[in-house]
Amino acid sequence: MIESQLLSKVLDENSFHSLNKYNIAETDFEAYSHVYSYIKGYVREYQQTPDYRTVVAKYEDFDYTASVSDSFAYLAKTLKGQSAKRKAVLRLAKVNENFKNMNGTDFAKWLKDEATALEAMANSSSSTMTNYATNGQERKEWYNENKENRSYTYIPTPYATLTEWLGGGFELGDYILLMAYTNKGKSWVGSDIGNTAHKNNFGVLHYSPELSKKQQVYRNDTLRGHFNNVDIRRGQLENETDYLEYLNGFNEENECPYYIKTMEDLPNGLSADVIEADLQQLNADGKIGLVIIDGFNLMKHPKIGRDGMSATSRQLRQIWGRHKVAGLVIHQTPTSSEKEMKTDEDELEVEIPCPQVTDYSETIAVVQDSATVLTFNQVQGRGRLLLAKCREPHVGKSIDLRCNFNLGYITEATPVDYF
Amino acid sequence: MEKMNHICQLAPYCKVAGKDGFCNALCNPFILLHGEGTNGLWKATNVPRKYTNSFFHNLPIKEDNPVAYTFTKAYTANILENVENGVGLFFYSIPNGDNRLGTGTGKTTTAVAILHEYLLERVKQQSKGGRVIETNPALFYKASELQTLYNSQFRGTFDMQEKASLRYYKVKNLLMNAEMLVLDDIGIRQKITDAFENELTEVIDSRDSKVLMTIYTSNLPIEKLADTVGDRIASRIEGMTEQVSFKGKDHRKGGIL
Repeated sequence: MIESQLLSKVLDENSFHSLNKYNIAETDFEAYSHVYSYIKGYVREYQQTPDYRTVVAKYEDFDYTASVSDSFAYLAKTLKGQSAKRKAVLRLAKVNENFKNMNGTDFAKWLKDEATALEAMANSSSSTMTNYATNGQERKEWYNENKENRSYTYIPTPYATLTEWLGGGFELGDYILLMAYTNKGKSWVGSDIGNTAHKNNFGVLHYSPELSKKQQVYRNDTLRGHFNNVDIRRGQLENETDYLEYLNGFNEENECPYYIKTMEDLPNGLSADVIEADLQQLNADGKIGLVIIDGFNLMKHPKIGRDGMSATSRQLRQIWGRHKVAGLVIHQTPTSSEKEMKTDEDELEVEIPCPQVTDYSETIAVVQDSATVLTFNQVQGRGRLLLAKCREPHVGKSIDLRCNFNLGYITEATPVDYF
Repeated sequence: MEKMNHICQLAPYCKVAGKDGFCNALCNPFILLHGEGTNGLWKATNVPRKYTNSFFHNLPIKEDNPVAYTFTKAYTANILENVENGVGLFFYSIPNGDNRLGTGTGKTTTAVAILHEYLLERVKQQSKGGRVIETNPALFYKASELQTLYNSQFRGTFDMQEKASLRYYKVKNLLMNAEMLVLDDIGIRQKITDAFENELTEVIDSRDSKVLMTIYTSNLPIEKLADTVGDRIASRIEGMTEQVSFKGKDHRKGGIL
């Protein structure tokens, strides 16, 4: 019986206040409300729960269960569910009486109010909340976990300064947006982020609807091994032996996965449901840390237009949180905003203007949903990555990148001692 | 990977120029200065091809203009500080019997040499971890070209005018914000319109207010400049520059024979 199990666990672990966390009150107990009431009074007086023998001696009907293995969360949630159902029955017991006494309008109104109240009750029992007033202990545990697991919950970026600005990198569960004008190299930067995550032992699930499977794989080889991208595709590498040797390192012994899915693997298109299904199947062991969607606009949305894209974005946000993965969504800024700025005098400009979040009006939901927004631009090998939105106090800062995509170098410009 | 010291303007100052593994298209200062080879800050100066190799060490004015040469030497020796302090220059000609207009005396060549020296110093400064380049460090523009660009907003079809207008305002913004600007051959036209005079005043006044360094070259001394560009502009130029005169024969003459 859930009531006795929960109270037994409270006695065993001397943790009456855990019940407050789940908002459990005397009215939630049907059979043992008197036992609950006694324990509560005892705790208030002595600041600890009584010995179980004291309780059993006092209330013979109390069915004490030793060493309950179920968690507080499970027991409390189940009790809340039962309590809600019981309260619903009690409320509905008045149906017959009211049906007789009330006129049609009043009865309909009463019925509607009761239904609304029942719905609220059911919802409150099915969701576990956080009672900020009572969860100090839990927060202590979180804080200590943060200290211990920091390197396991933050995915470092390929760029040291950005990693520092983000307080350690991309956090698992986060929604990250990378925006750029077309043909500037945003897929390269996305792949660079993916490969850095993988090299740091975070599994990657990379959806690349824009590229073919070979193109995406070769890009990874170029970024990791700096093999000439064009020459790999043509089979003309000068350092062919090095490449073949490098490929030997990619074998069944590697436990950390890097899954790539391109259009060839997605005959029905890429949707949030597909991603959810993939994560359920591939991330059962929690090895995947980063999901990359290279081309949000190429996804299949539930509806056409902004509403459809917004719905997908909201769904993705929930998926990242539910599966504890960082989700990197790569999106193209509408080229109209770039065209508006472009003139024949551009080659005189040395600034590299990054797209602003306000340039993007197609579906602002994508920007709103993201915890981190990066925008990127690149001109003639000079790149700029702007941190347009983030939780840390570094919004608006940018880093200079040196980009040679064909040789797989996207590096932060660091000071040199050449002069 | 191919070495880049044969095209890199920083090579004479670089400790790793021509060294394997360092001197290539991935070098940070190289990419900053030359982009992927033919672009970057070097191209963004808008210096005409004719003056690409103008530097202080090959400046051909020592004989005809020893004072200007000595002045330029002193100025470039401390160029980062001089530009940051907004110390502008006005290079003008003194006509003589052989050269009645005072043309071809080396004003533009000297101005570009200073521009190049500054650009290299700025790239070196940023590359060593110093002040970051956020806007054009050095820009060259002919005053007559600016006037033509301004006028093009009112010529041709509506589309042409719109495009020219976008171009003009982009250039105007660059002229107003470049760390160093060479405004070449100012006052070359007999008389400028009131509308263009206003535009030019706005650019010059903005640079004066922001203490940005400008080199003006002109065939006219400052006291005669007001006749063509108006008193407001002449007065501002006088206030923001050191005047350096150039004389001698016209070196543009001669031909290939």
